[in-house]
Amino acid sequence: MGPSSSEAPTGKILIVDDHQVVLSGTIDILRQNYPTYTLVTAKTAQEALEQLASHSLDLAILDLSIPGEPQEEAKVEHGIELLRQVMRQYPEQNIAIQSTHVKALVRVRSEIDSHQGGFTTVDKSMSSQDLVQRIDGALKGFSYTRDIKAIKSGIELKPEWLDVLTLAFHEGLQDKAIAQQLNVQPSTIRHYWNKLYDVLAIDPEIDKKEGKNLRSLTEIRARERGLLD
Amino acid sequence: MKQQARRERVLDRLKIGIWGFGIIAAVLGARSLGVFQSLEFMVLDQYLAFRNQFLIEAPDSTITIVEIDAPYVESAPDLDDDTIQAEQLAKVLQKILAAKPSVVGTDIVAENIIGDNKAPLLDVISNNQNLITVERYDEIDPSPPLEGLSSEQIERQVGFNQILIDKDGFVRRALLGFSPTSKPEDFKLSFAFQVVSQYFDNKDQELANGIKDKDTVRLDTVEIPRIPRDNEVSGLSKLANVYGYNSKRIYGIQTLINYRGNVEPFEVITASQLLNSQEYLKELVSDKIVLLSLEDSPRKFSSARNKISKSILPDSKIVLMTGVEIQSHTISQMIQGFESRRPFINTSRTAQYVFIVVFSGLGISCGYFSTRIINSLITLILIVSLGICLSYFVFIAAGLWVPLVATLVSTTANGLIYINYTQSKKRWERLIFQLDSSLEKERHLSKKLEFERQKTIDHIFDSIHNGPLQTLASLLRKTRDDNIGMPDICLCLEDLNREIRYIGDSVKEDAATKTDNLDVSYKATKFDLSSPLQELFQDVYDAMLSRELIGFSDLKIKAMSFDPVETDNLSNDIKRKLCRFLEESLGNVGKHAVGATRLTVTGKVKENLYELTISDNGPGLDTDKVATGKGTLIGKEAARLTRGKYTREKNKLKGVCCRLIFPLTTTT
Repeated sequence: MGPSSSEAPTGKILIVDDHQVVLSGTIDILRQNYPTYTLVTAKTAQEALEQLASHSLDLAILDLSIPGEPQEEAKVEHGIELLRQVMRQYPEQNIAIQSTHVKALVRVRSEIDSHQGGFTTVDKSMSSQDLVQRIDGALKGFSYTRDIKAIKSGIELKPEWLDVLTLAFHEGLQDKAIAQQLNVQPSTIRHYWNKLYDVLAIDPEIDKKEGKNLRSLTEIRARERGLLD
Repeated sequence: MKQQARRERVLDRLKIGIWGFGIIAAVLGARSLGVFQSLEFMVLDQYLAFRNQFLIEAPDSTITIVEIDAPYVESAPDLDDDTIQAEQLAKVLQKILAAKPSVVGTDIVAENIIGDNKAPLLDVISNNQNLITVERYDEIDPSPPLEGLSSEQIERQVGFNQILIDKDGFVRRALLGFSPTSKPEDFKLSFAFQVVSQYFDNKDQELANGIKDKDTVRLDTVEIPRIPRDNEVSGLSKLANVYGYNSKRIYGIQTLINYRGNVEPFEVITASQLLNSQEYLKELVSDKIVLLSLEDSPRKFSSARNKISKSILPDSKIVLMTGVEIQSHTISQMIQGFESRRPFINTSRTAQYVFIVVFSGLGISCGYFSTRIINSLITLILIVSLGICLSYFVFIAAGLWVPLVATLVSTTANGLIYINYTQSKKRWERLIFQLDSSLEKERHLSKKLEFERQKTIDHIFDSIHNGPLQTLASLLRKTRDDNIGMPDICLCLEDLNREIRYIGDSVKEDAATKTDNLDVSYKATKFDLSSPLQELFQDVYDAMLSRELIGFSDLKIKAMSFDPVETDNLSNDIKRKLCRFLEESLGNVGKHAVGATRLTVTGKVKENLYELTISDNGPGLDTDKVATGKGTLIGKEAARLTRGKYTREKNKLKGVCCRLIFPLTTTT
């Protein structure tokens, strides 16, 4: 699902992983699918932060189990802490988490929900096709966090997203009007929609390709799940 | 209280002061018994010797000592003393008197004046009223005045020449007059007194009895200080009077000799030299006091002069003095004392006591001066030196003789005792301080232990309430509703079993590791309270929502968000309580909000306030029950800890809204 070579967008992607094998594998996949992108790598949280500070990155692919500093032991806490810092310092940074510990993100789920950039998770055991799809989503600013949230019943979401749903489908307001009503930027509303797609298990890329209208699909799913009365 | 404390302090000072008073009293007592006397005399001799040594006083030129030598003297090998023919003496006297001296004193007893022809000598004596001769009262070896003198001449022109010798062999006193028979009419005057009396008589001045002290000698306003006699003192002073003498041994008019401070205090010349030179006669005799003695009269008197280092004495002189030299000093001190106010050696009880007490006080103050022992010792040494210098100075300047030895003993003893006292007091204070601080630590520790105990009880109670009790309530409800099968009951009971065991284990573990955790028994885990508040809330939310509680079973929408919040100023105890509050509120939803489809849990930062809201759309609340419930209790506790506000009320449409608002900066 990579970008067609005719458009050939360029940019930079950061890959953080302390395992050389995984790192090389990811780089291979990215080279194939994003030949026009520059790839930067880091093996520790410290290194990653340095790279983030010195480059303007289109995407950061982070592993969670990494060392904080060279010579240190790899720990999920370091990855979580790195993610926290990245989200705090670069609130619009597109992020993809590639890890075997995706569930560990449940602790920072509130921050992830508030994060304005794209945010997707990839399990390391997933196929490279799925990997590319998630990376693509993150690059486009979409959200895929369903694997983190494993709440048994009902849908969990932020109260603001619920407000967007209500204003859009009960009162028929456009994004601009909703933004005014909620006293936020229109871009924030777009970000809310992305989050809603994620919550309602809508995959924008796939569903669009299948000829579905995202907003209509959202309304249908929301009603199905009782988000709209 | 304050007054009492002050009184206690004063009493304390007095108690400490007793030592000082004791030492001073002991020293004064010892001094009264004459314990220090020989030492005090040594100090006095030393003072006089110093003055001699450094020639502080000029020679007294009013006195000339003439030693009558050969050819006037005949040596008599079989006798101790040389002798002189009365005719020869008369010749010498005539020649000297011709040069018009003020007074001539002949310190030659009658037994040394030999020859049958005494008429010329008696003539000279009766023709010259300013010629004084001597007699000697001595029980063993008396020597009466020259035979043939009239009683008037004996009274006016004869004086006794006894020299008083102290027990240690030193001459310090001069006897100016006494009555050998103890009868006032037999009162005799000394040679020195007669010479001085004659000297002032020539100037139309008359020596009189004292005014302050009737027994002493006075000229104008100057009185010679007198050593008190036995009948004039009482008590212990009899053993050692103010001058330190056993007053039983004091008789007549006695005074201390203030030796002239020079190694050659008087001009000394032999008769042959003098009489052969008109120049000498004019220079050394006219208007002078001329004292005659025989050459080679025995040098047998020890005095302060013994203390002068030999090296500075002129070769011809030896340390021991002749009788006429002692007489010269006595005469000189009287004349200088009356004429030019040269001080007599004097002392008084008051001056002595003041000196001892003041310096003892200074010695005591050494201890207080500094807490460092070296400083205190240096101060003591300085004070002692000051005492020595001051006593020497008052002696030189005013003749005031203060008891230096007694003072030094008292000052040093007091100084050392009080320095020692201050040091041990300091040690004590340090020990007491250490004791106090360790007691304080212990108190603090026991308080902390008590606090920890209370906290642990609270934790356990909260854990039980929010864990097993909730499970139990859920089980009870399900059983009552009859919609639960045996296997489910078993599962629930297993859960309960696990939860309760977990609480026990975790409390033990907490005690061992001492970390701040939040027990979540129903998930068999703990949350680290040092995590950010929003994450803790998230964890609690997740844990609670994962429980099989009846109120959660129908939930369709869970709106949840926790704003990030600076938690640096929130203590772990407050965080724990806030988590318990969220746990409890969610538990209430799980228990009571049967059929609720929507749950909203938000933590929002609004300016400086944090607002934690738990709202459901369940059946609402039973007001009576809630007011006393455990949930409300935790809410109120959380509100108290955070200085915030807790509310629980019905929602507009349906359900319950539970809210805690607290300020973020003022909570500590």
